[in-house]
Amino acid sequence: MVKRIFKNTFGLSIIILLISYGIIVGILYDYFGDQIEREMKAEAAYIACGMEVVGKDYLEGFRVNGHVNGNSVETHKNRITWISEDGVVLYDSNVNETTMKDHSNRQEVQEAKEKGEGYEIRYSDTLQEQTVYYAVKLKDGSILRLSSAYNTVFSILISMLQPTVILVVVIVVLSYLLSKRMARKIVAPINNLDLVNGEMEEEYEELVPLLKRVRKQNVLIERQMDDLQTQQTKFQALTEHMREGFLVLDKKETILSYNVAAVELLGASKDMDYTGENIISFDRHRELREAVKEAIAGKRSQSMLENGERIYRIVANPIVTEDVIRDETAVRYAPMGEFVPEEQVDGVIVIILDETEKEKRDQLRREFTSNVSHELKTPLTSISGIAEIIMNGIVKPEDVSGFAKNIYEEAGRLIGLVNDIIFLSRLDEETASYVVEDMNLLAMAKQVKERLQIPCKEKNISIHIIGEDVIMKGIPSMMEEVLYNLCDNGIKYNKQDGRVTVTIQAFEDMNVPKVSIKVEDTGIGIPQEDQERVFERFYRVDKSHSRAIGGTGLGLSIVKHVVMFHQGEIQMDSILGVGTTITVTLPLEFSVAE
Amino acid sequence: MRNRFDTQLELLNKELIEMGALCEELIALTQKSLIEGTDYVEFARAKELEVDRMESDVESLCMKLLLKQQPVAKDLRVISAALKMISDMERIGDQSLDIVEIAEYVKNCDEESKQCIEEMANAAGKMVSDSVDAFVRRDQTLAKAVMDADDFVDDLFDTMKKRLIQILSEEHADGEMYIDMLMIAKYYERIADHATNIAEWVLYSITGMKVSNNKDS
Repeated sequence: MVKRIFKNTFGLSIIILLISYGIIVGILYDYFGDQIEREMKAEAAYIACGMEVVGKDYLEGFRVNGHVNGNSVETHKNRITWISEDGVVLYDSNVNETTMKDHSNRQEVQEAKEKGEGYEIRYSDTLQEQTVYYAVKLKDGSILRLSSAYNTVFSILISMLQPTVILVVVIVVLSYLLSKRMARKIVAPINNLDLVNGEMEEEYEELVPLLKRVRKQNVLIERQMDDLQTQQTKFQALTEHMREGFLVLDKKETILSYNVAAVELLGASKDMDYTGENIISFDRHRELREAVKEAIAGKRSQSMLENGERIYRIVANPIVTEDVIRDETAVRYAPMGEFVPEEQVDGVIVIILDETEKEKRDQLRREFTSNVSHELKTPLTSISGIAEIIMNGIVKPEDVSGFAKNIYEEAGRLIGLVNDIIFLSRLDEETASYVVEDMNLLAMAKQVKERLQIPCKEKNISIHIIGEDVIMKGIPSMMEEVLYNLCDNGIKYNKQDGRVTVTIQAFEDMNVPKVSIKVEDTGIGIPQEDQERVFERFYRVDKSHSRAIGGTGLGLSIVKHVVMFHQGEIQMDSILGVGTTITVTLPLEFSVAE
Repeated sequence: MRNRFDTQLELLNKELIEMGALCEELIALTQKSLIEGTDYVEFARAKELEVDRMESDVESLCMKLLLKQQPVAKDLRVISAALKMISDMERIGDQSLDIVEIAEYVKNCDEESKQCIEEMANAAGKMVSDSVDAFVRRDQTLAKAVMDADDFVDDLFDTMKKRLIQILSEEHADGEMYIDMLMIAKYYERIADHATNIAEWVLYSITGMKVSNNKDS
């Protein structure tokens, strides 16, 4: 502002200066011309007068001595030349007249001859400068001429050079100071303008339209800011409540936005703001980086990432921003499998999904299938093998009954297995007809003990049943199955000469009468990591599927189902090599599960 | 000019983290080859080569920055710390590769030694991860935690050593295998030392103070 005003002021001053110079010089020039002419006329008259009285000698007094060339003639003295009628120079005050040429053809001389006087301004060959000549015809016909150096416009200007320079300096200083002051004065009220809600009557009325526009835009900006804020809040609410990790990156792998889930899933620091950081600061897994790189190259990519015990699926998707249509930026995601040219990719969206549970379930299903087929196949294989041997007649007739016994046993096992499966599937359906009856658990346990006499004897295991007579309402066939399976397991997974203790006790839990059935054994125990899984169907701690122990892998699964059907709970404590205690808690009153 | 300097500093930061990530991967490979017994030697060798290549890359980047930009104060500290850190990372890479290479000879060792070495591997791996994390987050507390964890790994190494001495004093022990085991344990102990060094340099680049853990390496 100061610069601009200074420029203007300075320019204006200079222009005015120049114009005034022109005018002054013009006026002065005319004035000086007139003055010289008048003076010369007067002088010529005096000299003519003098000559007529004194004669030629009068002129000798004007001669400038020692300066024949006339180069250093003092200028304030006018030069006097006397020329005869026929043009011969008779006298010259500054120059030796004998050297001078004929002067009759000089303009002023001729003029004087004709009109009595002549006046001219021209360049003098003799004096070599601009000269004013005035010639006058004397009475005897000769001509007297005066000449004087003439001040040209240029010389006037030169003589004014020094004051001019001083003037310019003054102008510069003054205009600088002035413009600074002016700028301050002009700007001060503008700077003090209240753009948001000031009064309309401002110091400069020229500014009112501008102010109006500014205020209008202020309102608009405010509205847009509000909109943006709402959108931001919405976006944040959306991403923050996602369980999936969410990252937005630009083309240079710099993080633009991310949500809490992403931080939690990948284990980044919660105290750090990763916005503007490279993705590698967020997480260093190769799978993530490679997925991002691929997406930046324009390809939608997926990869699995293992982070400790969790398994994540990472989906990286290139973002393509299409040309702006009516001020709205259309963001498009590349569909699966579509390849976007790299130069069109503007950024990447990364979604991180926790697939640990899914992976686990898949694993379980795979194991279940392999277990069940194994359980079914083993007895069938031996049945078919033995039957084949008999068919081919390799077996001696007296051994046939032994092999038949094997077939019978294996078939029995298969039937047991199928029965168990049927039992379980009936429980699953829960549509099976059942009769709720009172039953004495202690008596039932004793019955079960009787049924298990044979396997007990094989390992010399003693079963102890202690507790009180408890009557509970339930489905006797199911409960018998529970007791049978628990005791059977206690025997099967016991050591030689071990013992199984069954304790049945009634108690009250928050005013609800309940019964607890505790089955303790002194067996091999269950490893910690398998304790949760032994209730799964066909799950075996011993993965070798050895038939040394037998069993179907369904026992505890049935127990769990029945207990759940009766709204009870199961608790398991087991120490490897010491024994297992399974405690089942059941309500005495039967109510159907929802 | 400054702007260019900043981008180059950012690049340096990124390359360092990448190098750290490579070291983590290599350590993960050692754990895998020790536990699963799969042969990862070729894979680990390729990664180790990459670490070496990155070391020279980062080194020349640091030199370029030092000579052309003549950084001062914090920037100078960061760059000089980076120069030291990469040599530690390179050593971690080397030692991880060594572990992977001898892992197959200790396949048949007893369960308890295996668990012991696994514990060392986990501790050393976590230290490396934490030191890189401390660098990424400029986290002084984490860097100090790494330096403290070094003692724990040293203790584990001592326990391991005593165990192995006892096993070797028994007659039927497979001497070669247990010597290899000792080597692996020593390698992990060295890796932990290098992680400590990295943590020290991280601390130095933040505070300008070189805190020594009284350990040479």
